[in-house]
Formats: sequence, structure tokens, C-alpha cells
Amino acid sequence: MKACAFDYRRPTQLGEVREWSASDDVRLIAGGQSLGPMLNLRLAQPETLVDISALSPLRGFDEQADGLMIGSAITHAEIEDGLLPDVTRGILPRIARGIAYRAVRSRGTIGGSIAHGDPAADWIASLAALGGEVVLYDGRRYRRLRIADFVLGAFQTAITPGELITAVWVPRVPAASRFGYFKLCRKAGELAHAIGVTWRHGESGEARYVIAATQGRPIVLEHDVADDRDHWMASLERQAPGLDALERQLHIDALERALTKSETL
Amino acid sequence: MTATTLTINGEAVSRTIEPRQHLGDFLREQCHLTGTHLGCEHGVCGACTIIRDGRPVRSCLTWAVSCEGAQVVTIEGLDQDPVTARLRAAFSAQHALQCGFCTPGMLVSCRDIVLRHAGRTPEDRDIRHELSGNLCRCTGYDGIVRAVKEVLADEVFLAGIAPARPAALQAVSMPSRDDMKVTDNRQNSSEATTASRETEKGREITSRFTLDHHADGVWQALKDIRLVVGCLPGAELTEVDDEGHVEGFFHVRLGPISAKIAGEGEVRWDDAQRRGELEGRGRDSRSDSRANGALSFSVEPSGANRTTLDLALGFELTGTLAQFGRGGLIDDIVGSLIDQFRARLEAHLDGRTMKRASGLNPFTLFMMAMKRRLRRWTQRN
Repeated sequence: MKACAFDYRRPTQLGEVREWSASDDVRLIAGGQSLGPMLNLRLAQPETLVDISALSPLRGFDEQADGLMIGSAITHAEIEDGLLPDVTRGILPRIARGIAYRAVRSRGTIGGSIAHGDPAADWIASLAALGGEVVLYDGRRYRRLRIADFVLGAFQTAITPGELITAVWVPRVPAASRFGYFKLCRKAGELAHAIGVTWRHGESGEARYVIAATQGRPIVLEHDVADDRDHWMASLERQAPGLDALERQLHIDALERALTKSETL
Repeated sequence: MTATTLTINGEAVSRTIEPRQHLGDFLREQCHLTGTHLGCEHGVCGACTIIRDGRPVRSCLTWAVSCEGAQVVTIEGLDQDPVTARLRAAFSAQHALQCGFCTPGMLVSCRDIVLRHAGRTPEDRDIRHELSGNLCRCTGYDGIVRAVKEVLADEVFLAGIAPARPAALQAVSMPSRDDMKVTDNRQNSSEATTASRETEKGREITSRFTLDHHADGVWQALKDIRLVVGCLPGAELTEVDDEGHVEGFFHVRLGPISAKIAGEGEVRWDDAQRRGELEGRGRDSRSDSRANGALSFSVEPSGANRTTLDLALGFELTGTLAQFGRGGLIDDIVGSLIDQFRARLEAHLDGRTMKRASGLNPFTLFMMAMKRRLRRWTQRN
């Protein structure tokens, strides 16, 4: 199908975004690889698209002592190609390589993927485990919040009208950390049916396990991490009661495989 | 219409373009470059893959107006490209095409694979992973994988090819994290109040919660249809008659999706049993989706000033919205809706007034939930 008519704006300054995006019927667009299909299928019919993909403050990175700020309009392919300093011992390029298809990764952005809030998004699942954050800007000031908290539910995030994600913060991964990631897809590149992530910090021992693609916000086990299927199942039943027995089984299996395949970095 | 200048196959092209036209249509219909094929038009099949600024992209998911200043290369522009020429020979030798519909997109993707893997010998499974974004319904991929391997094994040919060298990213100075306000939404301890299951009639979502109010008051509130609708974010009542016939709208916002379901229904109350039911049906003309369902509710005292409210929503959704609604996704929306309904009903019973929301707003929901928890906590202490 073809998209409905819309107006197209391309601000050249970050400050202009707020001016354009405060209204209800405006959508920000970066790579457009999630919004594009929705527009073509006419599921989304905004009046105006504000293209932020070429704004230079969103296209850079800033390496800091304890982690990396990644401009929100950096693409999955750029991360896959190793164009960012590797503060995660290879985790980010590995995750990027598994997102959709190369031609989608060429345009799809890390900030756009998180802003879209698809429960099956790889960045949401993996960065929730690593303790990543989003940086939001409303034209006046910046705020940040954990990715696990930013995603409130399926396609629902804590972003407010007039705000945009300018950067994604990824903490530095020390030696001896352990990371496991497994996603269950029937076909390579399709949106996952279940995602499991395991993460243990090499220095502090802090651990987080994530069950994602549940059709709601990711389930993060962090104060009560245990390598125990019954415990995972209990958390899943409590936090995602809408899943049927088969779906629950798939999610628990995905987490178990992530743990089994996890590697010391 | 937006004036746009881009380079297509080495030639500058300036046109006034309708924003909604995607690059695939622009290339085919305005530039008559029909080598780019359109299949699914939502990014799955890969037939429309072209090269933008050196990288393969879906032309169906690229707005032509967004290509201002971009370098676009289509299959027609690859006639003299040495890697594509070598791939064409390999495709012929390995029987890597039959009907040819996917071939332009396949060649663009295979060229990218060769440029990124030159000098290495990827396993079959790696090549298949790389090719997973291009669907072919004729050859079953074996021939295409063999063609890519043939080119990657041709060391003499590859020696003369410059490998892919993507443009570097810029280090910039970003605002310090320490100066940013941290919004701490810790919410993982919260538990969902809803459960759902698939029934013969469609999906059924149930929810049970307790209100710190007398059952009489809760029942009276539920009998006021205007009040009930006022507690449902996004619901708007346009007509109510004495026999319980209601008409109205329901606005649902879900990320980029916005639906306005126009509907009608009948509401019945059973005072003796303190049960009620609202049966209704509606249609969203924008997405051509239909919904019909029944919401039943019952009130049961569970203490001197405590009441348990049971809600059960059974519904069936058809049309575009239903196609999009992957399994539990709708549960998640309905769960939010019920949480907000509960918060608003509680506010009314407490004698507080709340702002009417114009649609589903998870942030408001969250703030309300936090306030509620805080209130309970202070009451307990």
C-alpha cells in the first residue's frame, strides 16, 4: 500500500524540533524502518513527519570514562561495522548484526528503535540488561532515564510531546563480565517471538536478566537474579499474565539458552 | 510538494516531489527506472533494495523527499560496476535466478556482501544470514548462495576490487550526564492486575481490584454511565437514552497508531445481583477495523468499607488493527486502560476531580499510580 499524504519537515537545528513536534499529529522520523511500514500500511497516518535523521548533534558519539554516549541517529549498520569506540567488548556490534536485515540496518537508528518501543526491539532488551539509558531533550533541558524504565509497555514510552531522544548511554563493560543473548525467530531477521538476556558485571558482580518480546515492557530481574527456571517462570507469570503456557515456555527457554550460551568477555 | 535535488546513477535530478511518495515509486514512475522492483512495500521482501550513499537500503521505506543531496544508485547504474558484472556471470553459471523478480534486489544485496566479505571465506550459514532480507520464490536460494561463494572464491578478481570503507563517525562533545535530571521510574516491582485468555468468542481479559469504599457507593457510581465513560481515557459519549442505548467514540493511541472507533452499545444493570453488562460494537474508518465485545462488571463487598470490583472484557477485533495486534499486545493496551479506569474511579469516589485525558497516556497513568501508592503509604503510617 501507499502512505497517506503527510507534510515533511527537515529541521536543521536541534532547537527547531520542539517547535515542530509539540502537536499531537506529528511524528518524528529518523531511519523510518519501523514507522515506514506502519505508514505504508496506513496504520499510522500522521499529518506531519519531522525528519531528524541528518541533525548533526544526533549523528556523533562521545566516549567518556565510564561509558559511551551514542547519538540517537547512529544506524545499526554503523554500530555493526565497528565505527564506534568499542566500550562493550563486542556486545553492541553483535546485537546490531542480528537486527532485521542489512538494508534495514543501513537506515534504522538506535534512538528510533528505542523511541518506537516495540517489545521485540533488540536494543531495548540488550540495553535494559547492560543498564543503558536514554537522554531526552525538550528544547530547554536534558533528562535521562534507564531504558528499562523508559519503555512503559508495547509502543508506549515515557517520552512527552516536544521531547526527542538525543543520545543513548551505554556503560563501559569491564573484563570478566558475562553476557548472553538469545532470540527466538522462525526466520532470520524477523521480529523475535522471545528474547532472553543475561548479564553479570565483571567487577561489581551486579547482574541483570531480561525477558523481552513479551508484548509488554521488558521484564528485568535484577535484585533477585537466580539461575532457576521456576523463579523466572514465577516472575514471568506475575509480570506478563497475558502470555499463554506455550509463550511462557518459549520465553523461559530463550532466557535459559542465553544463560547457557553466555560468554565471559 | 517539496523541491528535492538528488543524484541518481551519477546524474543530478531536481524534481518537486509529493512527500508521501517513496523512493521506489519515484524511481519507477518519475524517472522510468523500472529495474527496481516493488514487492511487499513494507520492508520484508527486499526486491526494491537500491544503494543510497554507498549502503543498500529499502527504496519502499525511503521517502524520496528525504533523499535531498543523496547519492542513489539503482540496478541500472550498476551496468558498468565490476562486482555486479562478476555477480551476473556467477548468477548465470549457478542458476541463481529464474523469474527474475527478486534479482535486482538480490544483486544489490550480493554486491554488498561481496564488498564486505572480500578476503574472507564466510560459511554458507553466514551468507544465508546476510541474504535473509531478500526473498526469492523460485530458486530456493542454493544457486544464489553458490553464486556469492563463487565470486568470493575468485581471488584474482577480488585483488582488483576496493573493499567497502564506510564513512567514519564524528566524536562530538555531548552534555554531561551529571548535569541531567534523572527521571527514576523504577516500576518493575509493580504487578499487572489483568489476566487474559483466548475463548471461542475471541479474547477475554479479566481484572479484579479492590476499592477502599462501600459497595453501595461503588455500585451507584457504576450506574452512572456518564461517569463510567468519563473514567475511561479516550472514551467520549455522544448519546444516551433511557433504555441504556449509548453511542460514542473511543480514541486509542498506541505509539504512531491513532484510531478513533465510532460505536454504539447497550448497557444493562442488575441491581439485585449488582452486576452489569455493556455490549457494543464499533468501527475505525481510518484503518477499516471493526471491534465488538462485551464488558461485564460486578461489585462485591469485601469488608466494611472495601469493595471488590470484577471486570471482564471479551472482544473480537478484525481488520488492519487486528493484523497489527500481535497476541498480547492488545492485552497490554487494555491493561493500561483498566489501570487508568481504576485510578479515575477511585479519584471520583474519593471526591477528587481529575483532568479528562484525550487518549491513552501511559505517562499520566504512571504518575497517577505513583501518587496512589504514595497516598496509601502515608495513610498506612
